[in-house]
Amino acid sequence: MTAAHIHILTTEGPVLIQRIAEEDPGIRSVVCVDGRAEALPISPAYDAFVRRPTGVIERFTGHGAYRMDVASAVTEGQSWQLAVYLAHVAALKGAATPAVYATGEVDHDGAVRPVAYVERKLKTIGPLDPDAVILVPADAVPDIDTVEGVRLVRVATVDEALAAVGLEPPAVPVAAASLARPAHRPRTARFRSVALALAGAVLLFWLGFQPAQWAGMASEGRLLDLETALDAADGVGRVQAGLFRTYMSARRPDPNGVRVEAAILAAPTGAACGEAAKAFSPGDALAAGETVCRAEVRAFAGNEGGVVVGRLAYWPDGLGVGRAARILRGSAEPGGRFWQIDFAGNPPPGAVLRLALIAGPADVSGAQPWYSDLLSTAQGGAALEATVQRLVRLGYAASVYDWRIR
Amino acid sequence: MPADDPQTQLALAALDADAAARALSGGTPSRPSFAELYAYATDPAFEARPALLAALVRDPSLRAELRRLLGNVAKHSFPRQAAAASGAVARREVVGAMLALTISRADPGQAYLGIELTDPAAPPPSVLSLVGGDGAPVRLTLPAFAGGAVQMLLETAGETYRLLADPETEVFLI
Repeated sequence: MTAAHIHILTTEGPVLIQRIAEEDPGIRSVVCVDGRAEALPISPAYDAFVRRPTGVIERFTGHGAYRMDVASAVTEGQSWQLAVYLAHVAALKGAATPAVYATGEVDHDGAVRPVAYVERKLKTIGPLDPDAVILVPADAVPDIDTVEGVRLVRVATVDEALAAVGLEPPAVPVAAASLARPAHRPRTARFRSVALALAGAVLLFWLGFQPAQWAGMASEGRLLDLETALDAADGVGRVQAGLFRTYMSARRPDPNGVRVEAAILAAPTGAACGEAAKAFSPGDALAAGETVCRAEVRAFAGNEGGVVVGRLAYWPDGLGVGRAARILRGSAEPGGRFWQIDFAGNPPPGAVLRLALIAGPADVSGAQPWYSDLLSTAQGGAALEATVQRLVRLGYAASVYDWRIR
Repeated sequence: MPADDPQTQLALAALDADAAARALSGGTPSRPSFAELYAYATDPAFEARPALLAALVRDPSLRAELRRLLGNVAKHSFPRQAAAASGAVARREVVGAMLALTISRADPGQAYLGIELTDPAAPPPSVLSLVGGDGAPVRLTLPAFAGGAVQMLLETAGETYRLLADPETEVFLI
């Protein structure tokens, strides 16, 4: 329960925002009713309202995934945005507010846009505390001044709304800051200001909105999001994206630093696979008639640290032929990762194990389309090289290892 | 092949008639019809009779039949993880699709089930079917996918979460 008492005005009546809590960055923000495990249909719109680059909440909280609980369902539209914005600011600051009733859409620049059915929403408000605040977009319902004895406050921006409920605006993003300049200054001071402004411009160029956002994605391992954002950059952003790729490429770990250990376990009979299995290096010849029990593979991050992740694919009919019978994500171990694959029957001649490793600063989250090429295309081929380079430009090193089992 | 397609209906009726005749002549106890099992596997709107669910719990061969049927019709099948997994499964991945369970930070009694398709333009699944080592299978209608992904909330004490986290469970996206 938040200390703020902020209500979304709806045509069915005011809906209290009960709680806003941070969630794992890998999930999408959701709106639920009263703690229940059911996401409301407005959840995707709430996620877009929160998450960069479309959203406004992550810009001042630095976090991109939340769960918001409301007292009853809010079914459609965007007019919940003003109340939700205020609730996020109050939650960030841990601030209490008077009872607030708000309707309005919030755009990317913090302007409060007009919404429909304001008069109908106001009619659903019951008795109010005298210190309650009702917020509506500027120019809304010009012929209504008070509801239940409380004056309407018309707001054109979120800052006006925050001021009306006694909340300080959240920290202003760097790019929106402006430098106040005195009318007259000594020459040295002016020179220093120019130098500072230039340094600031350079800093903005490097650390401004987009590179900071990209760096955040890279550190969270959101590689596909990062790639999409870099590809979508235009104008100055395109230059920044090119430099960012160069920067990330230079900082990627050395793929040769990753250490891989693999063993094939075989036994005279399938029944002896438990205790009697002997380990062979993948290149060693097995004795005739031996049963291949399982393969165990370990990969360890290099001395530079970081994270190594990957997939192990089993191709019974040869690399890239038909469908991989198994694709394993492996399990994390101290300093690396471990894969184990059990063979139900003896692998046929030509069966291949392909290990695809990705090493970088963080575990990779989200969809990972590059694995289809990493796990199936021939070493030395153009497709594999293109995929490796695709990851290199995102700051990750990729490598593959093949073992013919028999 | 949709279950309400007239040719499918005809074929299913023929299969059922054949099974019924064999059961009568062989004296074997009757089991739910193949048409019913097929509808359960393929039709999101189909409501299973309690008798069908009871038979699926009771009869391992019927469950295996359902598993094979689901494997044939599923857009994506996630196999059992017993060989490689230890403890609860938090993530399953096959070529074309990924499925992840994330415990809610806000409410540890709930978890997010996220499903992502590698190709966002691919026809999205509409049903999630779970067949565990024992017990009744669970079927869940999925919300609409957006950008090749969908997310749902689950109670961690619920059967759906239990099955998804169990490495013995096979998962099918239909």
